Amino acid sequence: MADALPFSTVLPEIGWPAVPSVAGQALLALQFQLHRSQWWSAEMLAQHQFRQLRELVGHAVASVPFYRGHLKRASIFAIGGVNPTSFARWPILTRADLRSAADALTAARLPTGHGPVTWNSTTGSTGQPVRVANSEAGLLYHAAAVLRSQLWYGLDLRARLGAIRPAAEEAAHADWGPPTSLAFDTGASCTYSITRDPTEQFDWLCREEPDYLLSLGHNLRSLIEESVRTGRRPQKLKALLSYADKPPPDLRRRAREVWDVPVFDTYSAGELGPLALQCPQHEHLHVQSESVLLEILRDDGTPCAPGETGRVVVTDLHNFAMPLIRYELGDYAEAAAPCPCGRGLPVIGAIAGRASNMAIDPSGRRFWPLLSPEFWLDTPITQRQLVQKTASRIELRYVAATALTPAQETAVAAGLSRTLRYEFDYDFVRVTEIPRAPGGKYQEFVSEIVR
Amino acid sequence: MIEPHPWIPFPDRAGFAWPALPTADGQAVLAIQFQLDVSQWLAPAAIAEQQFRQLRRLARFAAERVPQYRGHLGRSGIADPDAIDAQSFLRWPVLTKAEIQHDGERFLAQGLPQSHGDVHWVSTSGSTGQPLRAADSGIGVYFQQALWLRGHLWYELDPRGKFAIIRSSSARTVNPDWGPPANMAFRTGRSVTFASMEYHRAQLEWLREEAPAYLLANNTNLRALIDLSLRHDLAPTSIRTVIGFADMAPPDISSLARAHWNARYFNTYSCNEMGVLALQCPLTDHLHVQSENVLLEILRPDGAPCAPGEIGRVIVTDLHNFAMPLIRYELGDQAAPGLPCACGRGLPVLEMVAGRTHDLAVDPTGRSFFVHLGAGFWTKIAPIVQRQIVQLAPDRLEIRYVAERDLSSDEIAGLVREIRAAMRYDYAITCTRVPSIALGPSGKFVDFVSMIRG
Repeated sequence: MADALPFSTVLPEIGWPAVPSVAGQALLALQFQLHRSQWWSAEMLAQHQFRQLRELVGHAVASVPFYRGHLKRASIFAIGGVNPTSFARWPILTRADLRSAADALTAARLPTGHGPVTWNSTTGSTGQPVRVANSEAGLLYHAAAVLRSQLWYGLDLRARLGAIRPAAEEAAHADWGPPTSLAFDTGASCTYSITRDPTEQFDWLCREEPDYLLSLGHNLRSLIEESVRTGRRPQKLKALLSYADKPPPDLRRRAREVWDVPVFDTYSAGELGPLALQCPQHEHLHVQSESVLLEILRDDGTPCAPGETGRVVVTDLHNFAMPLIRYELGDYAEAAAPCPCGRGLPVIGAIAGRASNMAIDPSGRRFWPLLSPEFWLDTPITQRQLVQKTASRIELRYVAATALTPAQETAVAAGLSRTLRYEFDYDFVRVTEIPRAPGGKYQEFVSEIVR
Repeated sequence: MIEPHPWIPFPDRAGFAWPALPTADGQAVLAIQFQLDVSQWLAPAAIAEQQFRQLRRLARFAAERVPQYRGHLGRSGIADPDAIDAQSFLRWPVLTKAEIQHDGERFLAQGLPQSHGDVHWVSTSGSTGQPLRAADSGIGVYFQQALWLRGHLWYELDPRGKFAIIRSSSARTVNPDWGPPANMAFRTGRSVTFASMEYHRAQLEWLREEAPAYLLANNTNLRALIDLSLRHDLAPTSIRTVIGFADMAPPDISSLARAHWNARYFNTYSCNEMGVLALQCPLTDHLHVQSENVLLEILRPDGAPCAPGEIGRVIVTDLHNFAMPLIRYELGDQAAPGLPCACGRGLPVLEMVAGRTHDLAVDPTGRSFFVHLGAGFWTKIAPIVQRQIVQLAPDRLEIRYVAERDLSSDEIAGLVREIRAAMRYDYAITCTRVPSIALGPSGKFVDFVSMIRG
């Protein structure tokens, strides 16, 4: 580590080591623990996770109506009997459950000291909003993972941070905001809305010149292409910070080629905070086992072996306000072998995609369509979205200066069939814009038939 | 492989067992430890930069609020506290113990901010046998304690173990935990204390009875305990780690602890006024200066900094004591700077050359014991500037003292009475006023000198 971290202090005469604020102390007390636990063995991590899980389950069955009877349904006869084997029998909680049984999932009472409860709406890629409650103390653990990511990547906390997010408006801030600014004297930050079109976003980026840029992976990717298109580039960028779901496969390569910056990726879900962070030394992700129990399951419900891709099921270990226990996010991920970095935190090789972005052909083959941006370069199409309507029919919504000619349509259809390895029937629909999903995410492929 | 204890704090919020949200006090303790976790790996230049930033805050405060330091900047040819750097700081006058003995009041801050906590006083005679009193703020003590906890973490102690402490200020006690700061964040085992002036045989029997996992003791005393346990086959087998403090570590102490007690040994370098100055590296035999709390210089006779391997005087500045700032305070020890440590920590390496040491005392029945009579012991009886006890024969002692005048017969009688009580035998005692006390062989000041050669 080159420079000292700018810990913030409440005593003007004592700056090093600093005397942090009460909020800062809470965050740093967690960092003290995370700093150590990352190096524990997988077995020791699991042992403490289950200790915490039993606390959560005990609370859930006693205070959360939805979970009454869950122990029995899982054939677990006492809280002490919650272990990796028995927990595999605990029923999966679906997004549909979360929407239909939000009240029943909310704790009737909270243990003292968990603080006030706030509600967070999240949309995910399905566009169907869910609301999740969490306590102030529960959210501290999400904040701790955010702070850990910044420390893992050695970010210069005094630098300028730019963020392009769904809920943001154009604004300038004196610091990075919580959680970072609760414990550190950070540099300034600026925000912009992801709903603005890429040209406007790119103008803002070149105007603001942040050192770090945080946004959704696909959005970062489109800004890089905007840079190529305009021949301009932001001058000060040191790294890109992508978050939420799967970043485009060529994001890292293009970030390196065009801007010569690394990408640090966080796999997160609005309702659960950061689930996995890119390893500081590798491209794969480390599950944040101190705050989530993340399972990757085969279709039959057994855990995936390294190299296998399966459904992501997560438990937020500290949300006692609305316990999400074995919650199926709708994402698929690849389980991976332990990381050579030495951290015992489990490894996700890659996020494969969301169920709702998965294609299926009439034979039942399921896959995530991978369409490189280059595929569209020979067409007049500037923006597009594929929507699978039936097992054999896909609607191609596109934005273009003029409608495609029949010959162009035939050529695009042939190209798509080669890429997707099935001759789907295509309906071409020219639109004025492709709206983003409510969470600000741009989806190239949406299935209306896969759950 | 057995994993070290994970040091998981105890939770304050029901339901959050891991990672825990500790009590407010516990969070404060861990917030400091996290900073220490990170800062130890900084490059030496980055550590020095942070130290000098903190030093400038201290110097500014001292120049404004502490009578002794008014005018120090001018005398040092430093225009402004912000101009203090490694070069200009060499011109700041070195502070001697005699100056504090002479007029300690002048070092007290006028208007210490309340946020620094209550003022604590310590008495010390340190490495030179010169008794004095020093004040520190609550915050200053807090940082000192944090460094002892860092030591526990470095040495991978298991907080559930029993911790035994043998020191001069202790009576025999049993405590429910390790005390602050460890007990503010962690559930620890019990701690037990014993007096270092007790007969070594009694100390050893106490250790075997208590069966602690860890022992903190004065190095000289520790060495005597190991010797005695070897002679009588009384090794305290429960002890896994011993930590030596105060006196210079005898060169063979680590190997003796390993060979005869099957215990790991770690050395520390501390003083009463500032707490821990250096802790042994967890991986090597070096001492690492605790730069987050003290700026430690090693100087040549001409005041220039020593090069690695070169022996010089130890001068220290407590970076967080705003109650009684001790800036460039000469401890009377000698040390040499080391080369950077192979462990990768950026904290400077220190090699102790000459520090406080004691010979062992005996009584006519042949019982051996360690004698350290704290600063308060002497100053409450007579205005003594420096002193030394010399054992001339098993039943005869000489007290050599430096003072501005001869002690009165009442004072001498009081001194004789107190020393006989403390050493549990009616020794024949003579008191001799001397102009100065000669250093022992190899330049060390010896607190208790034995002329009995066995």
